Amino acid sequence: MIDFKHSMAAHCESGTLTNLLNHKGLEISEPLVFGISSGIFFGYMKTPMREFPTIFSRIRPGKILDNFSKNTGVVFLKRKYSDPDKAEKELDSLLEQNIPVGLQVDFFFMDFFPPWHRVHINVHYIVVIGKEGDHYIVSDAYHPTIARLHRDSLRKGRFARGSMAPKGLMFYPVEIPEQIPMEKGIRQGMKKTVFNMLKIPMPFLGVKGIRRFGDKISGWPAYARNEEQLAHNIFMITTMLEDQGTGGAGFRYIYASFLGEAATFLKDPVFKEYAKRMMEIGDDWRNVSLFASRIAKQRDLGKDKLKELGSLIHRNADQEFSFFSDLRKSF
Amino acid sequence: MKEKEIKIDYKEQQLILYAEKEDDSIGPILSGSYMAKNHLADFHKIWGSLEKELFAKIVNREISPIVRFKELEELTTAELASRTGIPKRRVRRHLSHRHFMKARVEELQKYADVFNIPVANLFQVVSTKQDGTWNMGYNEKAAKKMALTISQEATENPLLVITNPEKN
Repeated sequence: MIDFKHSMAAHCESGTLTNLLNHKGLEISEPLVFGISSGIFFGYMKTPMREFPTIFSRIRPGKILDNFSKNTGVVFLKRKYSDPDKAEKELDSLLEQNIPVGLQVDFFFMDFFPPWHRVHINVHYIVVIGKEGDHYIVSDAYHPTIARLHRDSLRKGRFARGSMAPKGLMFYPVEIPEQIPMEKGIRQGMKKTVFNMLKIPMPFLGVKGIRRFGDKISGWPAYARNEEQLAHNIFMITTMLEDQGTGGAGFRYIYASFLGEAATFLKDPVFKEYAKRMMEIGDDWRNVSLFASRIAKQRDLGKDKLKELGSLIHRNADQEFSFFSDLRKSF
Repeated sequence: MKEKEIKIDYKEQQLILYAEKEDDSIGPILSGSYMAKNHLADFHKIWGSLEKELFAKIVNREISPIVRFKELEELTTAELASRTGIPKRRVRRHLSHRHFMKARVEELQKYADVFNIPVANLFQVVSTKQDGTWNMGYNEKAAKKMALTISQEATENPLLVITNPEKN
């Protein structure tokens, strides 16, 4: 087994990346990786993959890796496979060379988590750090300790089909520049975030996505076959914002931490103020989460309550519009 | 939010949250999961009643066992089709009892792979007795408190599974 420092992280992709970079010798925090990669985002959409509309508060899976590489010059080797045997052989070969390897997997097959916790989601990231017999040794940023995973489960996870299928994706850093242009990376990350939140011409992305969420939430009963299903999906709002690897408040708290670190790197205290404002926005998202879980628990899911939830969401949209408009002026 | 306001004491499921520390910096803290601590029972309740409802429909031949796993794993027909590689139209037919009876074993194997169960479990329901009541689904935690634990062991043959009742 490779001597790898296992650390839990708020989010699987940024956490996996951070742990791999730290192992390679680059001391960097998860919020910095997340912010440089323009990780924060918002979207609201209805896809054929879910019966209910879904919200997401981060950029597309895989983009954290790509954006970080682009903004810092760190080179990653990324490889996808169509042949599971070949994928397993190459993974084993890298482990024999003492190289920890990042993998994209379906979370459902990570059976070191309890069954009720596991859902089919093809965009979970882990680091494999060794193999003992038929078991791989896994560092999963959501798991408190190093875990063991049978090779059959890993294979199923790596080659699950469906939306955003992993296709055996593996990655690891191969080259870290001696001098990383951190200030430039931070600024580029912020600029892209501002663009994503304010300028993407789609009505369901960025701040417009938050507004759409606020508008549409009162129509959710139409998707439900009964009250129980509606309650479950209202609970899911809280889960998506608080429990699915967001660091709390739909990634707003981790982004506030990034802004605090940015103030030091950019030697500009104004970003400390932005950090504080983002923390307050996070608190308001947490109010959305708590309100959603409360009405779901009490099955108090009438039109009025959903409208009230919608107005809390709209308030957040206004605050984020104002925040990102101000952040844009600071460049 | 301050560390002490956000931190939840719940060891069973822990995660990393970011919070304001004593020195006003914002950093990571290890906390219990808010949802797991406060709403796991609600989750089990919703899922328990859904499972009972689906079981009754299977018994009455209104739906096929595929619906049970599809619903419990929150997969839409489109996603299930994409994951199994079986055309969506055909998956839709397999959701009815009548067409499930005509499904090929090869197709059932594909469904079982996605649900991560032995094919045999499409034809049986393992229940667990809790507080004198039989509940749908095998609950390992509840079973461990009792005299008997059941485990299923895969074999080289994907259609064959060994079920092991074991004394605790």
